[in-house]
Amino acid sequence: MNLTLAHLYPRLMNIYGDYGNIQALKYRCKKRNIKLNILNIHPNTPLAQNSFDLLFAGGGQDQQQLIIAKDLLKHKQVIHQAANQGIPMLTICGSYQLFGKYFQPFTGPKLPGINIFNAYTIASKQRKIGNIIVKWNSKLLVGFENHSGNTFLQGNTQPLGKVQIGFGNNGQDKTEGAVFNNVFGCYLHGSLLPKNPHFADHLIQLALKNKYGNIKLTPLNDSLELITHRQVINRTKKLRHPLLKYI
Amino acid sequence: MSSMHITGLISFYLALLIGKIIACLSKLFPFIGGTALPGLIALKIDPQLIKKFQQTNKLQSIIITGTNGKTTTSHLTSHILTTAGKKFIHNKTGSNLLRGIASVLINQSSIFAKLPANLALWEIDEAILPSAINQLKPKIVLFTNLFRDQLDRYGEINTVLTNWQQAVAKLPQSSHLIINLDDPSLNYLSHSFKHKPNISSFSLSQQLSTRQTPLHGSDALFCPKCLAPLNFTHIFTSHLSHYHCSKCSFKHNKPQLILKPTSKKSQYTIYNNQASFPVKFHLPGIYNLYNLLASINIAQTLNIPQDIIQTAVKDFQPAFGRAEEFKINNKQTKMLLIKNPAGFNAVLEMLAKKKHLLTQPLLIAINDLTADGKDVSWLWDVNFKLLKSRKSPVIITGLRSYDMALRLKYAGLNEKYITLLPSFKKALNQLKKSSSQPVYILPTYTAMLNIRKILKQQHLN
Repeated sequence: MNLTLAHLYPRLMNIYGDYGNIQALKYRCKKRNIKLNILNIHPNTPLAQNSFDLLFAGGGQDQQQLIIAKDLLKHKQVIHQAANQGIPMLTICGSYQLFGKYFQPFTGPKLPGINIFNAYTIASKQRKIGNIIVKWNSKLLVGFENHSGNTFLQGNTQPLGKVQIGFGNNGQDKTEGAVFNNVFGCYLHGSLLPKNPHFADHLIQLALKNKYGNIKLTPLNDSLELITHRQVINRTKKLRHPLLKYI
Repeated sequence: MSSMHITGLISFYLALLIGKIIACLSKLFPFIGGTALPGLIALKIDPQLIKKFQQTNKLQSIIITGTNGKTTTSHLTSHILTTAGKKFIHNKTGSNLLRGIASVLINQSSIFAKLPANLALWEIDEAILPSAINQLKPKIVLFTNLFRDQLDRYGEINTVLTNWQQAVAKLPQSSHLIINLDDPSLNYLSHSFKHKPNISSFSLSQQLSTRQTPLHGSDALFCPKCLAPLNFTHIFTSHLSHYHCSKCSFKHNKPQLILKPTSKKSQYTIYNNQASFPVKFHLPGIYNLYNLLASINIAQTLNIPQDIIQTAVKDFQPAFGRAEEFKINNKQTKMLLIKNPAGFNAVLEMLAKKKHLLTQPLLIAINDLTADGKDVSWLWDVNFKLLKSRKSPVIITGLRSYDMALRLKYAGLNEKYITLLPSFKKALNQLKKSSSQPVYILPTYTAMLNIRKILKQQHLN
């Protein structure tokens, strides 16, 4: 079996260790004898229809986000078509914001997004920094958020999950991330997928299902991943505890 | 003094007096607080304290700032100044925020605010550089490099660069700006200083280049001026390189100082325009060659004679935690501080070059306190592939040891060579059992403090 992953703007959108997500997908596919081809999409690289089974886009700095925002608009149609076909995609932070309707930076004009998520983002003065725990279906996701943008979901857009500890989309409504079909957006750095192997496998499973039908993923020895996941939860709880955080 | 209003004077002396009292108290009762406490309180009483010290003493400051190499560069510069017989003030404990500067000034000054020297050497945290420049009106400002570092604390790299540009634009005309030209961001930064004759820069020669394509996570891949991709002809480490823009005129132009290797180990030639002179320098790693160039550039700006520079450089010993050496159980041990992807990559590259990375006992200690960076995501931007074929254990410890262990697993290191011991004591005991030397310890900042404390206690018992 083989899958093709389109990685949007690997050189520009790669801050806060988001590259770890690619490493996790590669590793977890390789262990199962699934060949994962990586299609690096830089500014001005074309992205053909039906050329990918998975898509990833990470976070970047404001200036980098400005560079890619224009380029991303060129791929709007292709990405919409893929989203409607159920292609799984993961977008984080700066990319997540541009998968919404628009991002309004502190200074300068609005950056139009590609409108996959019915959501918009406005830069705020308060930077939301810290470990974060999110309830996703019946499971937890752990990561580290660091963003000034406040994202607001509109209509009946579903969040990725509910914030248990941390700020999430906007620090107000306890939502974190957004979901449209199999497209996921969130603020979770950390890196996300290595520490949340259940979510990594969910993406791989969705991609395989589109291409090969229902396939049972071979379970991997995830003991280190799961201890790390638990340890991050414990550390996050301790750092937020009113007394224990001082020890 | 005349420019200072009478109420300004009163608050200045009051702040100084209270600062002195707190300094005395914390000497008597060490639990009262750290070295920066007198400065912290004094600045609360008089926020202009540092500026007033500068004015009343006509203090001439040298500021060293940047992401990596601040401490080593300032210690090496200090060593050169001492060898040259200069009297100066220095925040040598590395307390590099405004409160640290204020504390040093309070400690060194008489009760009448007279300082023992009118030259000062400051290692300055990159985030507070604008206020430091504003208060100190420095004679020399040197920038070592700009890498992604503790993004939870400093913010994005462009934010840091913008703050620096604004600060540099406000430098007095008589100031000297010194930059590492191999860092494209710093080259661009120097455009903000209008007094061109007072800019100097340094660079490594192309023979020291290790690659032509940048590693993942390099920070300056695009032209800081027009945002088009940069072309690299020679890369030394991370984005430190010889480069030119693929579109506009921005490029690595002529540096003042160039360091070239010789056929002999630890011996280099320094070129300054037509002149050149040899130096012997024993610190390992490419980044220490930048620290060397930076210190020589400062020394030459201060007109320190060449023979004194050569002598000082030759017998220099590294600072606390920076390529520090000691013995554990009679085994030679080297502790190399790691703070960010660029620094970690440079350390790994150095160990690989020495052929020690795959064979020698290795302890990695990762914490996530404020001084380490609360976000450990950066570990995923380090090139650990270099460790992949290692066939002996890596001991991993610290508050975020699990994240580090997982990182190595995904880099392809066989899990059976990952020894995960979150307790520092257990990890150090395990390290002591290793049979060969040298032994390497790679800690983040507070992990280094933990390790030193344990080793000290064990040594005493």
